Parts: sequence; structure tokens; C-alpha cells
Amino acid sequence: MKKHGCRTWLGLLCDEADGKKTPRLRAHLPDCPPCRAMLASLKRTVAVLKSAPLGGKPTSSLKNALRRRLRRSSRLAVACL
Amino acid sequence: MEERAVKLIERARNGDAAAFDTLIRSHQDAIYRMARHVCAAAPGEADDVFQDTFVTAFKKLKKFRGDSDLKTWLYRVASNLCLMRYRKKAARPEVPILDRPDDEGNLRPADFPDAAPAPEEAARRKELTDAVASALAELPVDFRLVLTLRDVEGLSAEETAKILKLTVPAVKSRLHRGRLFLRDRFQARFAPEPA
Ligand SMILES: [Zn+2]
Repeated sequence: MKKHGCRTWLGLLCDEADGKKTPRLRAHLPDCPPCRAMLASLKRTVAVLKSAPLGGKPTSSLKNALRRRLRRSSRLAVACL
Repeated sequence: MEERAVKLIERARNGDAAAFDTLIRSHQDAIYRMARHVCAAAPGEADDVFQDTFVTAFKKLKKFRGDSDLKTWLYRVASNLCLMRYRKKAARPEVPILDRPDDEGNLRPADFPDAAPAPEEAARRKELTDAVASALAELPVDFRLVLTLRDVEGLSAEETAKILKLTVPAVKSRLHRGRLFLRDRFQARFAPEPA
């Protein structure tokens, strides 16, 4: 692959991957396969990050543990008055 | 902020437990998701951050001035807890790619398929989740925070900068480098074996 100064485009590539319209980059893309590939892979990276179901929802035992802690600390707060 | 939220916060501040409970329910999924991404290597730590965020918020609610919305403020509380938790741990060496001096501006046009080929949806989802968790876990906490707030929670660069007390260019720089790092990791993981 030929050396290419894509790093100078990285900021705009990231903005474009965020869905912003960047006219200067858009004018450059048709002539530059590496930047096009870069943009496509950045978009896929963001899509993978967004779509991976890491996290899910807090379990009810976690939510109950939080409620217990809060009850303890509010009792403490009242006791300190 | 909408009036309903302002009233709820006011009631919670005055010790109304039911009001605080309503506030928790409105934001618990977001805070948990954020904690799970930032504490990617350890779900147990995410549970701690989740609980500590609301306990801290409950204690500090009187200091909440209402100049940002409550969710932004909770993100800030959670971010600070993550920073305290991970910065004090033995600093692991910086991830090579983040250190790497600009290699003559050359970016490998890495490529990986849209979706990892897997026979079943459940297997594919697990593979994706594992890929994201293990790649995030390799990054320093500042990068995990920026990637999570920007790309997972969908906040703007400006909002993220405010929450993390960074400049907008610093947020963008971490975001770019973080995305490049993840891209390389995903590619290594999902790229088909060379024949
Ligand atoms: Zn280019």
C-alpha cells in the first residue's frame, strides 16, 4: 500500500464517521481509496461499539443492594441532625 | 431542565426518599451501561461504581446547582469515581498504539466484516460483547471514559468535555486514538484467517 497522509484527515474522518458533513473531506474522498477504507472501518468500529450489548440492565439484586445502602445512609443522616 | 425534573430534585433534596427513588429509576440504566463499559474488565467493579454513583449523588444533591441536567451531573459523579478507582491502580504501560509516534502519516486501511460470521444471533452477540469488553479493557481509563460517553451514551464532544473537565480538542484526540485502537482490535479479532 502506498504511503498516505491520512492522519491529516483523521479529525475530519472521525467527524464524518459521527455523521457530520465535512465538505473538504468529501471533496477528497473520491480520489482516495485509503481514506474511503478508513472511513468505512471507523464507521463499523463505532457501530460495533454502539451495538454490542455490553451492560444490559442492572439486576434487581444490584438495585436492591443500592436501596439498602441508601436507606442506611439516610438513617445515618437523620441520626446526625 | 423541565419543570417536573426540577420539582423532583427539589423534593429529593429535602429528603423525600420516593422522589430520589424516581430519579434513580430514570437514570439507572444509563449509569449502569456507562459503568459496565468503563469497568469493562470487571463487572463487579461496575456494580460498585453504579451503587457509589447514586450514594454519592444522594449525599451531594444539595450541591447540585441545576446548571446542567441531572443526567450530565450523574455522568460526572460516575466518571470521577471511575477516575479515582483506576488512576490509583498501578499504572499499566500505555497501550503501544497510543504511544506510537506518527508513523509517517500512514494508516493501514484495516478492514473487517460488518458482522462477525457466527451461526447464531446469540453467539454473535456474545462474540461482539466480548470483543468490545476486552478491547476497552486494554485502554487507559481516560480513553474508556471518552469512548463510552461519546460513542455509547451518544453525548456530544462539548458535553463530554464538560463532564470530564477536558478541552474539546482533548476529547476529540482521545476519541480518535481510542477508535483507531478498537478498530485494530476488532479487525484482528474478526478478520478472516488468511487461507
Ligand atoms: Zn486520503
